[in-house]
Amino acid sequence: MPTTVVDEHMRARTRPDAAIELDGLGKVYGRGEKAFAAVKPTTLSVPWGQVIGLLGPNGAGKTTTIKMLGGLVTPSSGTIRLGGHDVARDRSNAVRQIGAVLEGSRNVYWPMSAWENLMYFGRLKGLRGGEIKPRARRLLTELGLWERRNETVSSFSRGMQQKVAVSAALITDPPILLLDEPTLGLDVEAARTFKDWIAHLAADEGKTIVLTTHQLEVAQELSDRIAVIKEGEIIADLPTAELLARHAEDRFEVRVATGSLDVLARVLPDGATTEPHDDETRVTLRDTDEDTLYALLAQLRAAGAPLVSVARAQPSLEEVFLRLIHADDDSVGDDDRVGDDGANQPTQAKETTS
Amino acid sequence: MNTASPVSTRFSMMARFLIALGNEVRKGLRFAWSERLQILIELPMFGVFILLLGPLLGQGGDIAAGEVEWTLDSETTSILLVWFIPFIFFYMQVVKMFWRLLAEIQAGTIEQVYLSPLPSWLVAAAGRVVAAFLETLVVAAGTFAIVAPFVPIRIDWNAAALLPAAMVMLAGIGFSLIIAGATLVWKRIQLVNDTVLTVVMLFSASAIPLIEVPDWWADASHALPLTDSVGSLYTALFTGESITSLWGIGGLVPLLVVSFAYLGAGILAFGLGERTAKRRGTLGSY
Ligand SMILES: Nc1ncnc2c1ncn2[C@@H]1O[C@H](COP(=O)(O)OP(=O)(O)OP(=O)(O)O)[C@@H](O)[C@H]1O
Ligand SMILES: [Mg+2]
Repeated sequence: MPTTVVDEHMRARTRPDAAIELDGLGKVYGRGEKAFAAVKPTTLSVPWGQVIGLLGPNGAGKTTTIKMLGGLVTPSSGTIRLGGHDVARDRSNAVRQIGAVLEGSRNVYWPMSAWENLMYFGRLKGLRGGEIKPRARRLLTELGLWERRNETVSSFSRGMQQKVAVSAALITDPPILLLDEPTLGLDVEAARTFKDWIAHLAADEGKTIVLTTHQLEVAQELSDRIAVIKEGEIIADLPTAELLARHAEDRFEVRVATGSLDVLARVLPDGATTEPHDDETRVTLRDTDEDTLYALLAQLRAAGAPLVSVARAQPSLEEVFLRLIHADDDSVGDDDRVGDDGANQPTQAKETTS
Repeated sequence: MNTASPVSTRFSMMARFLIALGNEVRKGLRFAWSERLQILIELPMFGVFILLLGPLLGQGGDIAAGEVEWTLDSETTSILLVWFIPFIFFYMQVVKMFWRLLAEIQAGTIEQVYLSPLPSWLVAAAGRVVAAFLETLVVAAGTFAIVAPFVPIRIDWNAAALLPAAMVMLAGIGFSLIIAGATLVWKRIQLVNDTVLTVVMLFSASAIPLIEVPDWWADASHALPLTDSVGSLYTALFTGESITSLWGIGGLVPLLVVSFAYLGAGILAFGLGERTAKRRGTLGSY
């Protein structure tokens, strides 16, 4: 088909608007009786430089989606364009756009050293040794692995192994990064370092990132946009701030010094929850008006309970997420999506200059 | 930000091909090196196997009568080598391909390999084939070197042997690709593997005049790899006859047809396995 060849050519030369475009992308595993729709036809577009958090419970279809993006799983329907290149028809150029760290996979060769891995993956992706070396050096130095570059990856801690995996994914400096649960199994500190680095990749290097994670505070912190996927279907897709704002409510958090628990028990209005925290207790008042708040404060004062702070609070992403996936299918849905036609439109959380 | 590929497009396809191939070979040999102990153990085993089998062959009656003569008859052992060295080659090629691929499937690194912009036949198949090939050459040569000091091996070298030797390699590569394709789909198939390899070994024995086999056995053995190449090797090295006779065991027609058929089937099977695994979403183990 000569027209498509020309089309591909044009797309390759003029930078397309979106880094990732999914059009009716779906996956059915198995056939006949055992057929199972892991991803229902999804249309979505991710602009350059955006970090999109793909959230969903176990088995929602996140990994399947990511693997389809990388051409590792053949879609049952729809098309994928990465930087304008169709994954099915122009796989070679499409995969040049991406680096990926896949879920539960080693991603790199454990019996080889960090350095050998980067050299191998650089060449695997079509670079020459001379092109790989300076970049490998920079990545390993940035991640604090330079000194240990010649040790085998199997001798590294989980956090270091994951760093080698991301370095390998970044060895060609691809504009798009797919990260499927990259902080899985990392301890608090390793996860923190990792998160900071991903934030740096997005902010300073302008990478477009698709991130899946079950650690919602990680997603909240890193993502410009959140798509919630449930049973293969995107049930919410909004800029992070907007998603949170839509689920905002009148909520207050009152902190009182511990020791006043008995007082609290007497004066708390219905629906308030308490949570002990070191030497203070946090009281959350949901869906409450200011009158109720002032009434409570007055009672606390009367009882002589020492007040630490009072603040307006918002539900965390975790709460919003749980609400979304537990809501009945039709009660959520549409208003949390950008709109049926809007689903096509990239959510411009971050205007990118091209 | 850059959408333009950072990969320079200046250097030629051929150079890229060689770099990619070299990359895979280097990785394969790197793994072989980390398994060098295992290979060192395999080597004498093959040698010992030949040295033990050699004296026993053709003495069926004597064994039954309990009068085995444990002499290393140079003629028998030499003929045996012509059968066994190609088999070791074949066996190693298949086994190395299988275990390395399975290890990559289980570790999940195979998926990263498939994220390469280079064609998968190059990075997932060709590189492995060459790496296994080089490793196998070492083992086959090693076996020969171990056996040689014990028996004066009398093989009159003859350039005509190059053709069947090449066909052994071709069939080995083809067959290892069939196994690799099946591995991509069914994963742990070592049992099938071992069975098939044993069958190949037994049937190819009908190509050398050490074991009497019934006619149906000889006929059936044409369909298996190695039989005709071993037959042709024997003809070239021991009979002083030309290898150009067309039919019969070791005949030019079955030799070429079967070897190329296995290569073709291998390429087909690998592609099919790849497609199936991607459709089922089981390229990495699931
Ligand atoms: N290769 C496969 N064959 C058959 N079914 C599969 C395959 N891979 C995934 N599935 C099924 O498809 C659904 C989606 O799986 P997927 O791995 O994409 O979910 P996920 O969102 O990544 O879940 P998790 O959070 O557990 O990683 C699940 O029900 C899973 O059992
Ligand atoms: Mg997953």
